[in-house]
Amino acid sequence: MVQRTMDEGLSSRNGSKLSGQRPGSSDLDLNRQMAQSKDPQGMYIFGADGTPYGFANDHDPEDIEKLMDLGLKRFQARPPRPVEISDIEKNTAFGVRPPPTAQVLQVFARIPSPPETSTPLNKGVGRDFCWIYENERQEVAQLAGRGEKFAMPTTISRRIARFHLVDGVRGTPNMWWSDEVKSLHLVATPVGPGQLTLSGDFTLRSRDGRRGYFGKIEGSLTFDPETLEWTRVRLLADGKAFGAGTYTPNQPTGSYRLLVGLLDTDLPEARIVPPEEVATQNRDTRYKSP
Amino acid sequence: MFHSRQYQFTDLLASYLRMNEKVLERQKRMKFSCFYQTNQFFQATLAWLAVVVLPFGIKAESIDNRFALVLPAETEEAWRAVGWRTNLMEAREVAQKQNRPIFLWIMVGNPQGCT
Repeated sequence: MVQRTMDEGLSSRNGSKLSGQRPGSSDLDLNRQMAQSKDPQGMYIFGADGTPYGFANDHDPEDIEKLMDLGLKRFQARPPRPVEISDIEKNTAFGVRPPPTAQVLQVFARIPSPPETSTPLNKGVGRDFCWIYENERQEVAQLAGRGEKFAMPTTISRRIARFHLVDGVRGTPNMWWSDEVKSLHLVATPVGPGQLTLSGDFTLRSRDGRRGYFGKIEGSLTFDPETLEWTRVRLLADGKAFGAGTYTPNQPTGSYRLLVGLLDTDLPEARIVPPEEVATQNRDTRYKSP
Repeated sequence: MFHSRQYQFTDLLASYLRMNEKVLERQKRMKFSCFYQTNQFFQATLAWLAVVVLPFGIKAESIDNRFALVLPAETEEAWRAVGWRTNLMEAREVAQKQNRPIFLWIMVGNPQGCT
């Protein structure tokens, strides 16, 4: 479908303030994009048989509307052929999914009250999912059963630190290498059957010292002592970040407050969309044992 | 004022100062000078504590309030109203049945975020 879009030259090069590109700019052309970076990202209009009707890699609402109008006209002028779609095709997963016994948390990142002088992207919200594996929930329940304060399992705290305490507000964030976790403490205190309060702190700094995030982490966790399911999770990292990521430039100048929150979720897409780290690596080897 | 529900420190301080102002006014009228002077001293001390202590890291915002800052606003969730499918093959099947084109968003990263 991507190839056919390129072959038929169907890029809609509308241009917008959002992309910073003028209408007609070749930078908005899929062929040029693929030649430069083999990167197919963007919006496509096509039929069920793969017939392409349009492409644009711009997020401006007016541009997307123009793309959809153009795509619909082409669709009506040249309708797709009927195709058979097998059950095997429908049931084949496109990406890595969480193990059936893993629990999924939602992750949000936010820069509260960014300076008015900073770019509008700083007002957005970063999103991701976090997997907690069954053996980890078993370990937490076991430790909680002793009734004393304990350090959360290293795999959980390091996973949260390396792959989720990141500034994904403006785009795909850089994750932290193992040696960039300078300090990390996450302690759980049992406060009742299946109830824990969490507290700790972290310092993360890139190898070149140009990017970092440090602060406190706190929250609560409730789990079902029978099923070990985490029924309520509220975990908040509150700290200061600085420096740009590879795909996340234009951060507020100097150091800025960055909040990262993790909470339980029952969204259906949580069982389909992998965490960013897993999607990038196309496996969860490093994610599971950070 | 001092019951067990969690208060922000500044709310507590403000409440005390407001209450204390009313007490001071009453005392002035009743001319209980000794108590009035003591209370003034205590109010000044409390204000001094606020100036000194607050910058030293007492959390003025509860964790619930800070957590609420992170969560998407309703306008930031409007994209859910589109009814996105997460299975391309199922989308092809529906498109064929309904005689409609497919709108596909490909992103390097999670299209629901990290973008």
